[in-house]
Amino acid sequence: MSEVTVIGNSIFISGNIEGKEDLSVRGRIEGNISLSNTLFLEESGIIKADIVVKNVVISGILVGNIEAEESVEITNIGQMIGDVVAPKIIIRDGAKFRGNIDMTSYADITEPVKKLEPSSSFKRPALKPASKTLTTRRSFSSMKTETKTPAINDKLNTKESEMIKKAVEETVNDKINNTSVTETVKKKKIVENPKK
Amino acid sequence: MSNTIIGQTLVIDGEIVGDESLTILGTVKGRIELNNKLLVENEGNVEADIIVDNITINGNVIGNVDAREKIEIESTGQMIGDIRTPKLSIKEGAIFKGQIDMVME
Repeated sequence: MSEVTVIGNSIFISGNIEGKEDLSVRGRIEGNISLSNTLFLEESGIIKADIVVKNVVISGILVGNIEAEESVEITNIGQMIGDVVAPKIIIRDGAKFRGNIDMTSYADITEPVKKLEPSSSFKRPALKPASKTLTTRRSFSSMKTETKTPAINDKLNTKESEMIKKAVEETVNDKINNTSVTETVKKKKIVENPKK
Repeated sequence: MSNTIIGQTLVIDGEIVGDESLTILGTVKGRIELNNKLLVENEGNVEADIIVDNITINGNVIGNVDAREKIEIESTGQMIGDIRTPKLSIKEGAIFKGQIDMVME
């Protein structure tokens, strides 16, 4: 007597099936199947079950979820509705399938998680002075409409910024003059005065 | 008609219904209803209520058996349960415990 388990054409099993050998299904099964070997669902076979197995070859009709350790194959005459979790999934030309496929979950378990680089190695780009960024922005926006003006604009901008600087300095100086003067500010004044 | 085989390592917990002959080398719990022949091999373990045409027991059967034609308990067979059948044979060496009802047809 051969050791291969065969569920024949006219057989209907409802319940749980567990085993450590190949199982060939030509009849009907409803329930749960848990095999540590290969499940062959033949052309005449119909399975409505959640399956945990090593390999599956589907030539019949399967409704249910499969979790395979190695591979799932749906042949050209196979039909399946359900979710598949397996590292290898083969769907032949002509097969019918509806459901989710997940080929990653086993890989995720075996692969080590990548470590993030320590934050100290991350270098922040040097900050640019505010006036420069302003000019570049303006020149960029002007480039879209006007082609000749950017140079002039830059000049204007530098002039503007100089004027603003001077104005700020003056106001600061005025304030210093009015209020009580500290030693550090005095030094500044001495440095700035010759420029004027 | 093809022959269904339930292998040695296989455990079925539930109901088996069919029209073809069934050979059990593994374990079946629940209920079996066949319009054909059931063969329980030496290694076979059946814990079920059985309705069949013919049954040959070489292994262990626990449960009630209702056969339409014949029940055979071979020399290696062990059975606990009630029997209802028109024809019965229990070989020397077989172990049986239960009630027998041989239907007069």
